[in-house]
Amino acid sequence: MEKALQVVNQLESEGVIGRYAIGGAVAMIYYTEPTHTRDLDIFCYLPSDPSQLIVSLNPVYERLRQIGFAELDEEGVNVDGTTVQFLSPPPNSLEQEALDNAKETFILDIPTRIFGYEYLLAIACDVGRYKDKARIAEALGTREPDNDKLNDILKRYQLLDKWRKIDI
Amino acid sequence: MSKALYERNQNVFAAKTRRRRALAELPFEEKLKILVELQSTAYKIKQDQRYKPWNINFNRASQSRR
Repeated sequence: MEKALQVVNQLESEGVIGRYAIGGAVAMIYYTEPTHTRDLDIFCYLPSDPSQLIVSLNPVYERLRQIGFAELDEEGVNVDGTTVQFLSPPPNSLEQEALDNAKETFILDIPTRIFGYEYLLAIACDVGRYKDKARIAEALGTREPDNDKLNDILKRYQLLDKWRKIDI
Repeated sequence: MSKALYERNQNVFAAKTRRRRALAELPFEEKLKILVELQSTAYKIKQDQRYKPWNINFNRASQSRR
């Protein structure tokens, strides 16, 4: 996993990706009890090419291939045994705000960024699969969020009703 | 349900909550060690390369700051 973080930092320093942060289950584990996952979700900005209408991850995969990580499947890229998923947040989305406000931290002594806890809860609510709802319930059972912050996020992204409907 | 049984159940639930909250308070590196154990268990069951546990050198990463 440390190799994966080092490679992601390298991609950022080379400008292959813009600002990035860890989201998903690994980020949730950062704040709550450990649960099983096998993916490292990396939310990142991708440099835009004016000639391309669609943002593409191809330059990321090409650079990864150049530095020795060519094993790519539908779930992500295998970087030294860790499946890394690169995700580009849509403009003006909850994920983009989470990325902009990500917390600077160290993991395994490697500098990185991670989504805030309240953003992770709001994103899980927004995505709304059974496992996301279960994740919310598990999370709230182990750590209290900053409720003012969470309510503000849920309100601004019209998620309050959805949140109230989650049977926790 | 008898009062005694109800109280016993409540104590068990409270203990579970305390344990989970204690797990949440662990340093992230300790949580990663638990995650790798969980991944190892899943790999033994699934026997699928995609479930191989993450390669982490915990000796090198002496401390993870929070």
